[in-house]
Amino acid sequence: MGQGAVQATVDETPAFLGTEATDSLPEACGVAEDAKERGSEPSQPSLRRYSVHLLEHGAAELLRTCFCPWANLRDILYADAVCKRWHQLSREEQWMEMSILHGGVTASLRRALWRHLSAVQNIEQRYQRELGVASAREAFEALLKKPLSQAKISEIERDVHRTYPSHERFEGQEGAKGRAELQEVLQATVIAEPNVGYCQGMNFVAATLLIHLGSASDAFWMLLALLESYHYKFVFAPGVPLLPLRVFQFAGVVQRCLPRLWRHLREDGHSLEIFAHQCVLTLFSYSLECRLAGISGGPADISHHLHQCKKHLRLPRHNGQLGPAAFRVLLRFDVGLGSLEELESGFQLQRLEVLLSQVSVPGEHDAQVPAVDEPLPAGLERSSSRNCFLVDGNSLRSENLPPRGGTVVGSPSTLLNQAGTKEALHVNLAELKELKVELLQFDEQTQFDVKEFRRRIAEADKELLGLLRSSAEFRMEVEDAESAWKNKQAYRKALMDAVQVAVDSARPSEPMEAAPQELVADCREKLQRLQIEILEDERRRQARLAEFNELCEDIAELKEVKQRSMLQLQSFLELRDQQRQGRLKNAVAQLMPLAPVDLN
Amino acid sequence: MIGEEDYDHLYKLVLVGDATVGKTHILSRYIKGTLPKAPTATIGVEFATRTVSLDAGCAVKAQIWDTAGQERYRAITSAHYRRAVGALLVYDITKPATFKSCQRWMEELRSNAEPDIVIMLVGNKVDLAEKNPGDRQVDFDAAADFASQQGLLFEEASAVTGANIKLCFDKLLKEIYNTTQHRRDREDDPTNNFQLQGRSSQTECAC
Repeated sequence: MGQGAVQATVDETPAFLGTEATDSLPEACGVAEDAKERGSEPSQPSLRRYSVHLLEHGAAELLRTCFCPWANLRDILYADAVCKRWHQLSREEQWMEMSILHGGVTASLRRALWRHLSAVQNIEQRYQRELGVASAREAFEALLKKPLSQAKISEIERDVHRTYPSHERFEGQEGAKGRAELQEVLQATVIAEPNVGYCQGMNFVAATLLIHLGSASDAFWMLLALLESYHYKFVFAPGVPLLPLRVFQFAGVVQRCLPRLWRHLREDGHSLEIFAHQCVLTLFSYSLECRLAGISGGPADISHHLHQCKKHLRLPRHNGQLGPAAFRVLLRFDVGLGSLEELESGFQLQRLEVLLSQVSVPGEHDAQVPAVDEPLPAGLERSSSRNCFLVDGNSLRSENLPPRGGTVVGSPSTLLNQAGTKEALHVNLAELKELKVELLQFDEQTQFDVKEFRRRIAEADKELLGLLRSSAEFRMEVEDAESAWKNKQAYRKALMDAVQVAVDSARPSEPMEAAPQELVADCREKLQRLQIEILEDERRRQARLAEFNELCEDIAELKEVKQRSMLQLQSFLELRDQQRQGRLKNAVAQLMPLAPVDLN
Repeated sequence: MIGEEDYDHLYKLVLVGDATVGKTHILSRYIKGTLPKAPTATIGVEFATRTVSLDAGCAVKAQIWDTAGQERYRAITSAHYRRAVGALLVYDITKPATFKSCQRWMEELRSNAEPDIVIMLVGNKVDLAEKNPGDRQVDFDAAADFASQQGLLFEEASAVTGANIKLCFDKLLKEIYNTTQHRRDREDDPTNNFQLQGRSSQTECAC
């Protein structure tokens, strides 16, 4: 399966994709032998082939994108074939609507796709070896024959009656068989994973699997695959250790992708976490009709299920159908692996901060020291000796990526393995204190530097204020000078008029000419003086104007200095914040050293 | 009839107790007046609200949180108790183990919720004992004794017949109103408690 195959399908849809027979697998693919070589089930040649093909070409990522839950497998294959046009396609609401109305993956394909994606075969084979039986069904039956305490059986019984009680498979007298199967699936699960035991929520997942997979045996193995391969055993184990992290991730995704919903809940004083518990615990089967829960392409990838919270998001509906507006909402659910991992480390930091808030060090404000026995969040405990905290490692990290179908090789393990036992990390109180002291010093230094920055800014501000004040004085002076100049001009005009009048009225024949002569001379003299004054004023005004311009330049310069200082402060704060985060991240690695996730 | 948004006080209540004692049924009976059509196990937490008027002339909005009863959730559900001022602690009168657990539930409540949380102990499923007296496994008197020792309110009720359900909530809300009112008065003026009490309840409840 090389690039050629991709090329070949770019331009034309493979023949089988165009057929209407959605429930029967196409046989005309001619890849059965190819598939056999890969060790896949011969009954699903084309599916196996195309799944492998999808995985090989990075389309697993595509499967995890928001389109997948709604897409028909045919659509996925087709989309893969036209990978280059994918983004364009995904924006076409009509296309999205089509795939959702088609009902997602068809029943027979769903089973095969789920099996493939969850690598359930490896688990089945492992159990078959350990129990010495030939088939998965026999292994399931052998497990059921193992003893189980009555208390555990009745704990399950209690909920079997309360799982989809109105679904035809479990309702009334006809539902007796379905209920018995559900009981069997859950009992076998408790036997296989005794450390996990039965957890409410499992019943909804098991029932959904029963509805979609048909047989109790298949449902059981798929549930086991969820527990093992997708870390769900840590979600369900006593104390539900992984639940807070999953919920944190869920809430983080919603906060980013649906900020309006997030804010709305915040304004009402609720946090999304509260509502997210049941979504995570039941893989959304609790809040969606179980028929819809089966639409998803793969059963367990969390990012899949993040997309499925339709009911909780109150997606806009049109005539009872999800309308284009709903698709726009879903399209925003762009959950990549990267963001899940980022949220995971965010969660670890948050947990470390909780621990830090629990220790007090000298020099700290007393008000910050909490009550001694304030309850700690799940996954954190005080040790009895009180010199350290116990952190459940399983509550801090998880596999965010589903197993790559076919590549997970089951390692030999004891049948009743230790899943669900606590991985206790001891976080030393002394070390926490040390870190806190260090952080306090760091913060103090930051505060000191910030103060220095602020001082410089304040100085610039003060100087600026002085300059602005003198510039205001300048402006007034200029205005004054202007009005003085106007006055003088008016005076000058009046004088000139007077001289003119005197000259005009003085006739040469007139004997009394001495007096006006004197008057004219006087006026002329005044006029001359005035002229000089005006010139002087003008010179002075120009000089002041030059000064004023200089002042304006100074002001602009100071403003720039201030601006620069403020930017510097900002980037300084960002840098310090980064350094602090980095220090905390190191501390997480140091104080809570987590073994790498090992799914096998 | 009081409008949903027309209220003087908002009280957060929690419904706790072992699995299958009938917490969700009690909530449904109180809020909707009927039992859930398809009773399913509660996962995580759900909540509902109802606004009622008290004798004092005040309207209070009860925000009731229904929690999952299974033991392994406790670390998670106890986080929901924060800021709760009242609780309905439910047991099943036909199952003594559910009554025994009440002690633990109470401790859980007291350490996670408001320190002066008002707790109402409810013995559910009296309808079963009425039908068949042999089904009763927890004595009324024993439960009443326990309640008075621990300073809890106490009623027996039946979500199936609806008996005493409204009474339980009304008594609880009234008691919460009284305690919070007292506290508010104390905070207002510790020296002149008596006079203020009359005035503040008048001014705050101008409804």
